[in-house]
Amino acid sequence: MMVVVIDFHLARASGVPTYQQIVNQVKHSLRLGVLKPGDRLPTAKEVVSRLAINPNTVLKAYRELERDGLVEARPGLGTFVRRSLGSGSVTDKANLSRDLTEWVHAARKAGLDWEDVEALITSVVTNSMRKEVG
Amino acid sequence: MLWVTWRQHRTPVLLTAGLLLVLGTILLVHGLLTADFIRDRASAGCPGTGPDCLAFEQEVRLRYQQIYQLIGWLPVAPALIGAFWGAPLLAKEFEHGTHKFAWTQSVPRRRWLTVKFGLLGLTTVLSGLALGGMTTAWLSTFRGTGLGDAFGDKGLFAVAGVVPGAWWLFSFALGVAAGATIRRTLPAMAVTLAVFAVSLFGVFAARPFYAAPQRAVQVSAEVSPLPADAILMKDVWLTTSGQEVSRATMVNAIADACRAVSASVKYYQCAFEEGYTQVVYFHPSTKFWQFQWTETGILVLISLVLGVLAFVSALRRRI
Amino acid sequence: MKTGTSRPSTALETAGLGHRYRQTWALRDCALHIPAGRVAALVGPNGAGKSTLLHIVVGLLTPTTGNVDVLGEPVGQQAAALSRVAFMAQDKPLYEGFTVADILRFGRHLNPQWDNGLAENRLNALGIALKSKVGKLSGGQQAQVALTAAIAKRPHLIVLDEPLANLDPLARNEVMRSLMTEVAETEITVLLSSHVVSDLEDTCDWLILLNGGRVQLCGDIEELLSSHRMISGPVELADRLLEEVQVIDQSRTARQLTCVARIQTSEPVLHPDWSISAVNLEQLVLAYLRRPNVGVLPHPNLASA
Repeated sequence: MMVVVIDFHLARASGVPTYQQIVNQVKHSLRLGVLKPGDRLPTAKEVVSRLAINPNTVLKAYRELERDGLVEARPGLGTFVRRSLGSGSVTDKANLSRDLTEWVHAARKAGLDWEDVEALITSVVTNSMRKEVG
Repeated sequence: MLWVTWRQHRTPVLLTAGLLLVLGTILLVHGLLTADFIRDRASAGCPGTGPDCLAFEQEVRLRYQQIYQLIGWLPVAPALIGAFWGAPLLAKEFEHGTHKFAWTQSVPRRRWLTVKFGLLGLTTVLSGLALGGMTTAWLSTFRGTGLGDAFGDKGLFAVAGVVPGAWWLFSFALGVAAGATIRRTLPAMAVTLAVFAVSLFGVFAARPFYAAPQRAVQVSAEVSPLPADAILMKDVWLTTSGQEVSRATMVNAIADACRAVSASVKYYQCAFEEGYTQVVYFHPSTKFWQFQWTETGILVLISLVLGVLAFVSALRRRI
Repeated sequence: MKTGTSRPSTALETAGLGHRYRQTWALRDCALHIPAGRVAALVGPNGAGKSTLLHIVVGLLTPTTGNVDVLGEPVGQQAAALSRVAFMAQDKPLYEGFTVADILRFGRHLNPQWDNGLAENRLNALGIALKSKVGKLSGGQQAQVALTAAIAKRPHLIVLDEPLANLDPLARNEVMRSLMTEVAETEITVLLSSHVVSDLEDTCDWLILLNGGRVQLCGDIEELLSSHRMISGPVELADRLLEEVQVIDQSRTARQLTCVARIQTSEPVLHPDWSISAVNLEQLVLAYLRRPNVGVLPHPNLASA
């Protein structure tokens, strides 16, 4: 029996379709390194026996992840992670995380609350990413 | 299905079997003791005209009465079979909705009903026959004492011979049909009891009509024309001109002549002297088995009709 | 247990189905289908004919008109037909005087394909002792025993009449979890009725909407949701909107119109003053229930979905 490395959870009132939530959670775990290539995703049965959702929803989410090339289904064995997500080295990420933490402290000192911070980050990220693409 | 039927109905079946066992034991022990007693006295010439025979007869009568008080109630026992075996059979399922569970297994409803009706019906018949057998056996110990005749006694007739099997079956079928149509246990039980009571008295009243009666004419004032253990249908009086008149007509006609007579024996003597002879229409006890099978046939037929009614009702009614 | 054999793709199909109680039609002219392996929700107000429909599907009632096929074979009172379908009636009726073991034995004696090992394992995993009297179990446990009996029958179609009614939230979740686990394992088709739509959102992928004894909607939930939108905007533009989309249900104020509409293309091009958003299952169902005369015939192409 393989160890299940990831557990899904649902935000029922979020308005995000359930299969999309599963896709997002897998991607999130890939980015954070919780899921690594070679890891097995829980089977549809394992997921629904915890979450009381339709197994087809889980299969749909896995199909979408497969289409993105993130996982692969090995018949009779399960669905396995093919590659990781996210770019940049581990040290770079650690440095950036430290810088951002300092920035958030500064923002708190300036009197910004959670929503102010979130709005600011979103707008900065959107603007700078758009410039890069454009 | 066999196990299912047993599991669902074992409580009333076991209870009935237990009661029959208790009754059987009482009748057996009592019968054996009585038989011993009668055999002991037979050497002394009793029953007969011997000097101790009056005491003997009293003792036998006393022993007979002890049990008669018990089995005198048994004609109504089948009502309980109808109320506790028959009525809940379907009504309880409908009431609790469990028919939806039972009838969505892989056994078709038709088969489910057939097996249950069949097995339980057979069990009630066998129980009734067991009762009839042991009552008959017990009654036979009194043969020759002038007691224990089951033909002329309405109640005893229904618990002796083969008729109890039919009575039990009838009551069961009645209960099942009531349960199937009323679909609620308590009302079905009440209806079963009521209809059974009516049927019992109805059959008692109908019994003399099972055959054409025999006719017997009084030969002397002292002797009744009616033989022992017969079923009396009607008694009339014969005038000297050979005309049959009712008792009331006879009483009026001899009112003047027999006014002075008060004791009934003397009164009948007077009537006889006035030229009136009593005529009875009756069934002799030799017709016991003919009557038993007639009643059995009628009850079995009604039971089958009730069974079909219950069957159709359970198949057709809305869920 | 995955079966390798190929099955007909339609688990349940009815045509011209009707049922009349004396003078009243409880169900009329119902044509619906459920593809195999789906979890279908039968939704409708009380008295819509849901129970009547389910009773016909499981063979308890004989329809007045029309016919019902489960996997291409007619339903009814034959052993083979009965063994293909399992039923859990409303209020989960079980013999209260029975022990749980008696219920299993009952099932074993009456069903040729009964899987006793499966039943015992399930109950064991749920912590329900075989020795306990059914009448002494909690409502949730009784529901689990009834569900176990239905599953152990090894049916192709399992029909559940209001399976979650009268259960506390924890029991609802547990019943749904074990049902969904069964679906994941056996590719069984499920048809369940409910009048609480929020219970069904994550579990069901097929919707049958029954209203006043008629089928109003029958189809894949995702496709239904993607072909409907919540649209709101200035009431002056209402006439033009009505030309472009099929409005199911609308409410108007002096200035604003809000409606649930059926759309043809995935992103309709409407006047920019209209704000368009997705609908959830509950909004969709309510919109149709409020307008019993609006019906959408099932798309034949959905059958292969």
